[in-house]
Amino acid sequence: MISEEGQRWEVSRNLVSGNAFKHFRKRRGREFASCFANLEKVRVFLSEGIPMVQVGVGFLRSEGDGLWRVGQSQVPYAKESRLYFYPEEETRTLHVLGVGTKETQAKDIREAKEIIQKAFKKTE
Amino acid sequence: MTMNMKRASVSEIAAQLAEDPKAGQEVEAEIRKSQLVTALTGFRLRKGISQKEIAERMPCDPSKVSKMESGNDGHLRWADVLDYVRSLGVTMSVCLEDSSLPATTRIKQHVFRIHDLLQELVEIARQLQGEGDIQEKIDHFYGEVLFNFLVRFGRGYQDLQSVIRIPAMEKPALPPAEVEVVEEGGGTEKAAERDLVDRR
Repeated sequence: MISEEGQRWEVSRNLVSGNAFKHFRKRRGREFASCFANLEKVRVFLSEGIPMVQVGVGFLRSEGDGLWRVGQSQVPYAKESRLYFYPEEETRTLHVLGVGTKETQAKDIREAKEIIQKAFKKTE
Repeated sequence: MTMNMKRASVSEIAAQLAEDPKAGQEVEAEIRKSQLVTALTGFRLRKGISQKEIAERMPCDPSKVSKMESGNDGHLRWADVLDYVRSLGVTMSVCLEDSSLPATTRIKQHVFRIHDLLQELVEIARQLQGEGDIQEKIDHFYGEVLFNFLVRFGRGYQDLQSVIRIPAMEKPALPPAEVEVVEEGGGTEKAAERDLVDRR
């Protein structure tokens, strides 16, 4: 039978604590909302059956090793911001892993990749 | 991965991480601002067309397409939307809803719209005439689609029953025999007729 419901992707925050997000939102509230709204777009596209690698949109980028990030869009005078996540195909889950700006991206990416390594690639 | 995961919507996750329900509301508001943009971009991605290809078809600079897709509905120009839709090879319907109309009129309009959509299914079926195996596959596919429609219709009917009390005499004849509906041509009608007779 045709079942669209089985394709639905959802979001999880199980792998991170909220501290960094809380502080980021206090300083960059509009960027915070825009990044999460863009993550919702990615979630919708995946739920429609579009593979992650084919989601070719300007605000989305692969950072390698399974890590992806969305940026803010249409925020006047915005600070370049990134919301990092890991799309887990098996459970159709987008794991939120971190948030930061262009200035902190090297550290943010390293930390996010460490989380992926610990949580998903122990047996590899 | 097998962990006890708590999954939720994007806005719920945002609110949890920010430890502030307002954060979720702000994300919801942001999502609502770009529903058309998301729908248009989704169409392009499902068709496997790149931004560059759309730009060539529109025609315009690829950066314009990127800007359209990264923006909000309020930033879209109507002419650009029409060009984008035409470039995708899809048609667009605009639906205007007047929430100030009496509830009875709005209910009727929804029912008429469902009827119109079902008529469109008939029209598409007419256009899909094939031979032998092909026709058999088309019939089978239509059967699956109709089965799923009936499942959804049934759920909607149950939801309605939880809100309003539908008088017994006016209960529609729901086809209960799903297998019959999927596998037999005209099964829907027969099942519905039998059900209607049983109820009476």
